[in-house]
Amino acid sequence: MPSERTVEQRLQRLEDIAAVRQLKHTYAKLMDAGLCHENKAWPDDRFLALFADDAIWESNVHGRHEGREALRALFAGWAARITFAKHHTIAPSIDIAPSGAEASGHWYTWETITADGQPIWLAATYNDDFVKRDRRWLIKHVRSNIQFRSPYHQGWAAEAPLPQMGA
Amino acid sequence: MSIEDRIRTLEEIEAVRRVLAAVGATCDAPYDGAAFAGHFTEDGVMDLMEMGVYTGRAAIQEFIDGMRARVPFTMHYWDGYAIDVDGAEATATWYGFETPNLNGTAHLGGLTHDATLKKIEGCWMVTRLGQQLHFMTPYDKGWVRQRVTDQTA
Repeated sequence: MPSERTVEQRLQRLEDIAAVRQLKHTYAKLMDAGLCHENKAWPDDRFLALFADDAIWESNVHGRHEGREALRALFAGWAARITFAKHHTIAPSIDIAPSGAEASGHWYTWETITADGQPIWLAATYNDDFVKRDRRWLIKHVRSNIQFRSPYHQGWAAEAPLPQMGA
Repeated sequence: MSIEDRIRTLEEIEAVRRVLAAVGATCDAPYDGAAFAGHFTEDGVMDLMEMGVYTGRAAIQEFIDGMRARVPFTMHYWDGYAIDVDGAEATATWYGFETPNLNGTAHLGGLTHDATLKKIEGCWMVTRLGQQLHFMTPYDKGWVRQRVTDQTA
């Protein structure tokens, strides 16, 4: 942190880090609540409002989806198959750009899922970008790099390696 | 909000995070019911839903100390904290993953938690701790074959 930054700027940076961390936890919490709900109408507007209008959701397994309507279709497809999910978001590392209007963050995620009636282990990293618009942080680009997505009773050692992002 | 108030809010969020970490550690084996209950207000409530509601430090301590006989081992992996502080009151939600030995069988537990806290004489104290159990399954079964093992038997 350059020493010429004012106390106000340094404080704003810490507040922004806290806000981005909270945003990612809200993303996980609303996704899990939506996927687990018996009468699901998900993704709902509350969840989609976490994203910028031009947001991108991308992974090595699910492909690239750009724009709020594309995201809505992607998540609706999950909702049709997934009846239980818990996204543990772990070890956040968040950087705020010097402009104060953009941020990036890295997390590990450990997920327990029921998809098509089968229990699944999923391990991934998130490498996400965020943007601040109208004083509110929004998700700009999710990059989910899935390391394994394994049937519970098979485990991850028996699974063929997944393609990796950027490979 | 003044700079002093904004800094205080960030400091209090970290203070609440530390209290919750201590709460989690003291309900790991070998269990420290006195230390665990000491983080609650005198009239604090621990609502474990299907595992009962415990009101007051004495009842909370008795339940935690009783874990030694019922659950000889567990660890609480708590993550994903979302903490809001408003003056001397705070709310928090987080995720939990547990590895208990129940009835001689290794289990895996998936939970979410919530809490309300009050700052009293400079210390954050839990007024209510809630738990939602999503699965507690023998490791060789998984949450589809057996979602929950009865922990109250």
